[in-house]
Amino acid sequence: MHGVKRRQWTKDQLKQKKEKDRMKIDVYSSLVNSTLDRRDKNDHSLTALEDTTKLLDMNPEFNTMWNYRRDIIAKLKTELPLQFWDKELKFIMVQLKKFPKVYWIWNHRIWVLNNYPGSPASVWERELDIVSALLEVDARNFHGWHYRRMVVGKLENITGKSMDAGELAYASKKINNNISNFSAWHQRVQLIDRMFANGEIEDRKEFMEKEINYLTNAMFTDAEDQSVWFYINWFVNYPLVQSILGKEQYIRFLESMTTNILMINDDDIEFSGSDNSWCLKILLVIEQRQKELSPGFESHSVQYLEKLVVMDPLRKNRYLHLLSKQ
Amino acid sequence: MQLLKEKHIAYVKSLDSHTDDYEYWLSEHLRLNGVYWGLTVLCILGSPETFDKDDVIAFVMSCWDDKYGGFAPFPRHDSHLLSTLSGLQILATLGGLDNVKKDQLKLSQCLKFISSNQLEDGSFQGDRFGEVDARFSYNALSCLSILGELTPEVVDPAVNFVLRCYNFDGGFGLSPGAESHASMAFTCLGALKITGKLHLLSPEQIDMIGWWLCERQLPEGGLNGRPSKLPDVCYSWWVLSSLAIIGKLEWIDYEKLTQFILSCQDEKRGGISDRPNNEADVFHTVFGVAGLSLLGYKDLVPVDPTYCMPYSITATFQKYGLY
Amino acid sequence: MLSPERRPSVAERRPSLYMYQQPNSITVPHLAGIEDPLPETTPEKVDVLIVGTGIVESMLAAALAWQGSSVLHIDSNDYYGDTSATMTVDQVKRWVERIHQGLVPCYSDAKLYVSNSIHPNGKYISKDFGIDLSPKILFSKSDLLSILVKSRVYQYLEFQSLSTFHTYENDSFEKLTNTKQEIFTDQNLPLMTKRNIMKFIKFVLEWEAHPEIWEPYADRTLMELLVEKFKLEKPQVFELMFSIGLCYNIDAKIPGSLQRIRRYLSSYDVYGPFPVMYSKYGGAGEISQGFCRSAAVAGATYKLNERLLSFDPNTKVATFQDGSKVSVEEKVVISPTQASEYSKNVPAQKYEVHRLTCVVEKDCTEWFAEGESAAVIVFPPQSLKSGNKQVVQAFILGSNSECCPRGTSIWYLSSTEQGPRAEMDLDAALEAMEMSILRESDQDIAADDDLVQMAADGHAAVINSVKLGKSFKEYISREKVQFLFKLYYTQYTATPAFDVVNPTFFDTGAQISGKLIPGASDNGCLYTAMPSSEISYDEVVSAAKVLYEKIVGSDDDFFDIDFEDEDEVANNEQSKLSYENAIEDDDDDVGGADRDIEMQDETSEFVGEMEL
Repeated sequence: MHGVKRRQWTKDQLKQKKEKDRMKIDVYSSLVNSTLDRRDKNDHSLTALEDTTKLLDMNPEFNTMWNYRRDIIAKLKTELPLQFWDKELKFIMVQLKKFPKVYWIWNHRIWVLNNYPGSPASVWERELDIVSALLEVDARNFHGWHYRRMVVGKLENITGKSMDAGELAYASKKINNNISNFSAWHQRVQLIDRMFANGEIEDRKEFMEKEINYLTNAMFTDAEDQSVWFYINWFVNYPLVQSILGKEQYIRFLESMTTNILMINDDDIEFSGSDNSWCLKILLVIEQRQKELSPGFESHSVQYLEKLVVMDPLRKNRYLHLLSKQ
Repeated sequence: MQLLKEKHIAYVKSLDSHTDDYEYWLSEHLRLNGVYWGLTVLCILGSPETFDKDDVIAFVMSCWDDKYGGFAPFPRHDSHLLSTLSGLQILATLGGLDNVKKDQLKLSQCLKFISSNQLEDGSFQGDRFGEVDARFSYNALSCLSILGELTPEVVDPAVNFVLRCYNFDGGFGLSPGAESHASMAFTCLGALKITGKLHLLSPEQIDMIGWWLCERQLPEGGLNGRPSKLPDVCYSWWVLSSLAIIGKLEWIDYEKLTQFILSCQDEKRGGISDRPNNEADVFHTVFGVAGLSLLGYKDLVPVDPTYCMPYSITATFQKYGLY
Repeated sequence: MLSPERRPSVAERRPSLYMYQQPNSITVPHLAGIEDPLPETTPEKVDVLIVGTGIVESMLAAALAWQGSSVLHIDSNDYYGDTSATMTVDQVKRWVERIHQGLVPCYSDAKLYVSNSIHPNGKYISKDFGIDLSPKILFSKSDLLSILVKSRVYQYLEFQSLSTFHTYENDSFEKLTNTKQEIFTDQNLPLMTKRNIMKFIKFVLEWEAHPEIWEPYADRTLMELLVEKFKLEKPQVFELMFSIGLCYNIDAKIPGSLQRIRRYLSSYDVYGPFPVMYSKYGGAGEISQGFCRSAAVAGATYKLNERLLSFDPNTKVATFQDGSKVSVEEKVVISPTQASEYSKNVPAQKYEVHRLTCVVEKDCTEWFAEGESAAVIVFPPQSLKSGNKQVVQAFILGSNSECCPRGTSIWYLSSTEQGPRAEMDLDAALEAMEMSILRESDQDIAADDDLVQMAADGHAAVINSVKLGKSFKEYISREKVQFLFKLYYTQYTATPAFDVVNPTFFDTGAQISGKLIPGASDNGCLYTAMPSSEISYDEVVSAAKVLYEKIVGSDDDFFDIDFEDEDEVANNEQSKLSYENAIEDDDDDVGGADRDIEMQDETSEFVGEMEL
C-alpha cells in the first residue's frame, strides 16, 4: 500500500467492518466462481461479458477477468455494434479515474483501441486529449507519459506525419508550468534528439542558442532542482551541441555556463554561507569537457570534490571515487 | 531503533488469516507474489519453517495454468510472467523445483509460455495480451535462469532490448524512451547480471548509473524512485540492489537509510510500510528487510541483489555467460 | 418574521431535497428552524444563548450545537448576518438610517448615495444586489476552509475562484508575477531577480525551519529583510508585501508578515491554479447563514427580531424585549452591535476601519482572469495622489458572483487609516480605479499602435497583460463611470489591523476583576469581536475557537463531528469540493460539445486522486 496512513481500528469499528465485509465477500466470491465457470465452458456470450463488467467494477485489478473480457470481445467482434467500443472506452475511463496507476486498466485500454474497428485517427486524437487531461492533474504520472508516447506513435503511424514539434511544445508547456517536472524534461530530451536525427529542425544553430537561453533561465529560476541540472548535464555532453555550434562557440558556451553557475554559487555562499552542491556537481561535468577540449585547462575539480565530500556526506563515497580518478 | 524480527515474523504469519477481510479476496491476483514476499521475509529473518513447506508447495502447484503453462497468481486465474517467476522462486526456496523441472510436460509448457511471450524486438509481453515492460524481461530471464534454461536465442535479443531502456540520465525506463524509474534500474541491471552482460555497459555509463542511483537518497535517509518524489521503502531495495549489482553500494549513506527503514516499522503489529506511520504491507516488508540485509544489518541472512533471494538458494542457479 | 424585502436565503437556494440523483450526490440535511417557520416561543432553559448572527457567532453556534450543547441563537434584526450581513439596497438604506439614529453601535459616519436606476420600476431593483458589510476572500488553504469541509457546511455554499491580484504603482496596475511558471517564463525579469524571487518564495514556504534567515530581522521590518537579505527591488517588494501578503503599511513586522505571504503562496494550486475563492451570492453573509443552518440541523433554536434586555448572572436568567425569559446554564455570548441597553462591559473598540462600497455600471471584466468574476487591487503606501500612508485594498466582484446584475460590478474599498485622512485615501483610490477602467474599456484604444500588436497569425493581440500597463496620466476619458450606489461608513473594532484576535479581548471588565458592575445589564456575558479590517477569513476561526474554549473548557472537540455516512463521504470530500469550486465556470471551452463534457468530469474527478 502506498501512501495509506496507518489506522487504529477500535473493536467496534472492526466488528462493523467484518460484518459489512462478510456480505461483500459472499456477493463477490459467488460471482467470481460463476463467471470462471462460464469461462471454463468457453461461454462467450453477452451475459458473460456483463458478468465481467460487474466483477471488474468491483475489482479492476482482476487481470484474469480482463483477459476473459478480451477473449469474449474478440469472439463477438463481428457482431458488436460500433457503440459498443465507445461504451467500452467509457467503462475503462471510469475505472481509470478511480485507479489511475493500475497497469491492467491502461493495458486494456490500449488493447481496445488497437481493436477498435478501423482504428480511426479520430479515436486516437481523442485519447491524446484524455491523456492531456490526466497529465493536467498529475503531471508526473509515468503511466500517463508512457501512454502518451504510445498514442502519439500510433497517430504518427496512421497519418504518416511526425508530431515531434507539437509534442516538444507540449513538453515545454509542462516544464514552464512546473520546472521540477522531470518527466517533461525527459520527454524534451527524447524529442530533441529525434528531431535532430530526422532533420526536423531547420535552423539548427538558432535552435541550440534558444535551448541555451532556456536552460540558463531554468537554472536561475531554480538552482536547487535536480531536474534542471540533469538536463544541463545531458545538454553539455550532447555531441550535437558541439558539432552544431562549432568548437569555438562551444567552448565559449562552456565558459559562460561556468560564469553563470559560479555567479549562482557565489550568491548562495553569500546568502547561506555554503556552496550549492548542484552547482559544484555540474561544474565538474563542464570542466571534464573543457579538459578534453583545451589541454592546458586549469581545473578546479579537486577543490570542488573536496568541498562536496564535506557538504554532501550522503554521497561522500562517490566524490572520493571521483577524486581518486583525478 | 531496532529491527523487530519477531513482530515481522508474526505479521507475515498472520497474513493468511485475514480471510474475513474483503480486501483479502480482492487481492487474489497478487497471492502468489504475496507468498513469495512473505516467504522471503521469513528466510531473511532466519525463520523459513514458519510456513508449512508442503502446504506452500501444494498451493503453488495449484496455481499452475494447464492451458497456457506457467503459474497464475491464484488457482483458476491465468498465468502471467509476474506470477510465474514468483512460483518458481517459491519452489526454488523450498526445494520444490523438481515439481516443474522433472515433469517433462510442465517444463516444456513453462518454457513455451516464456519464450512465446518474447516479441521480435527481444522484449517480453507479460502474457498474450501485448503489455510490454522491462519488468517482464527480468521475469522471463530470471525464470529461465532458475530453471537452468537460458539460451542465446532468447538472451541476445532480450539483452539488446534491455540496453535500449537505458536513459541519458543514467537511469532505465520501462521501455525505450520511457522516463527513468528506480524499479527499472533493478529489472534492467538484474537482467544484464543474470545473463552475464553487464560489461555491455561502458565504465562511463556505470558511473552515470551510480550517480543517478545515489541521487535518489534524500536528506531524511530514505530513497525515492524518481527526482522530486517522496522516499519509499521499496525503493531502498530497487536502488540498493542496483548499486550492489554495479558494485557501488557504498555510494549512499548506510546508516541514514537503515534508520529510515526501521522508522517505517509498525511497532505494534509488525510489518513495514512505505513511509513512517503508514499502513504496513508484505511488499514493503520484504523490500525493507532485504534492503537491511544488503546494508549488512546484524543477524540477517545475506540476500542476492540480483534475485532478491538468499544467496544460499541462488548459488544453485545457472550462471549464464561465464564460460 | 423574516425581513420583508430580502435576498433569497441559503436555505431557499439549496433546499433540503433529495433531488440530486447522481451517485455520491450531496445530501443537504433538513432544516429545522430555518426552512420551517421560526418558532414563536423560546425554550425555557438552554446551555448557551448567542446574540447576533454574524459569522463568528454563527460558527460558534454550530460548533456548540454539534458538540451537544443546547443553543438559543437570536438576532435583533429581521435578517441573518449582523456585522457580516449581505444586504439588498433597501436593507442598506434602513441600516444607514439606523446608524444615523445611533441605533447601531460600532458604526458611524454612514453616507449613502443610490441612483434613480435602482427603483421598483427602474432598470434595477433593490434585491438584484447583495452588498456585504464585511467583504471577505477565502484562501484555499485556511482554517475556515477546513472547517467548512469538516462540518460539511460547504455543501450549502458555492465557491468561485479568484486568481488576479493587481498592484497599483506609478499610475498603473501591474499583475502579479508570483508563480514559478510566471517567474520562469517572464522575459523581462533579469536572471538574478528571478533567482531572488524564487529564493524568497522557497524560504517563506518554510520560514519556521529557517530562523537563521529571519531572526536577525525579527525586530525590523519585512521590507528590510526583502531588500537586504533577498536583494529584491521595489516592484517585487511591494508585490510581496501588499498584494501577496496583504500588509497594510511599510512597517509590516516579521514573522507575522511572513505568515501572511505564505498563506497566499501555499494556497496556490490546492484546488486549482488560484490562491483564493469567494462564496457566490454574498461572502461572510452567506457563510454565516450556512453555519446557522448547520446549527439548526444540530438542534439550535433560532429567533430573529429578538432583543436581549438583560442577563442576571445570579439567577442566570436572560430577559428579552418581548417579555420572554430563558434560563442560561453556561454562557451568554453577545455581538457588540447587539449589546443591551445599560450594558457596561462591552470592550472598547479602539480601531477604525473605513469602507467605501460602490456599485458601478460596468462589468469590469478587464480586471478579471478569464472565466473569473472577481479581482483584488491593492494600492500600496504613497501610490495615490492623497499620499496615502496606509494601503487601500479593493475587492471587485462581477456579476457572475450573483451579487449584482449583468453589466455591473461591486467595488469594495477599505482602509485602515485612522481619522479623516481615510476618506481622502478611499476617494483617491476610487478615482484611480475609475480612470483605469475607463481607459481599459475604451473602444478607441484598439487603434493605438503602441498598445496593440499583430500576432503571427494576423490577429490583434494585446501586449502585456493589461492595456493599463501604461501610465494613464495623460489620458482624458470621454465618458464617466456611472455609479449606481455609493456607501461610506466607518466601522470600529477591538482588533488592530494585522493582528489576530487576542483571547483577552473577550474578557470583560467584570471577568477580569471578578466583580460585577452595579446596574449593568450584561454582567457575566462574553462579547465577540467586531470584524477587523482583515480581508480574509483568517480571524474568524480563531475568534470562534477562543469563545468555544471559554464555554466548553477546551477546543479539542471543536467541530469534531461524526457523520454517519463517514465511509462513503470522506473519500469523496476533496474531489467534490474541487469539482464544485474549480469547474464551476468552465463551460465555454473550444472543441466538440460531447468531448468537452467528458473532459470536464474527467478533470474534475481526477483532481481527487492527485498526489499533492
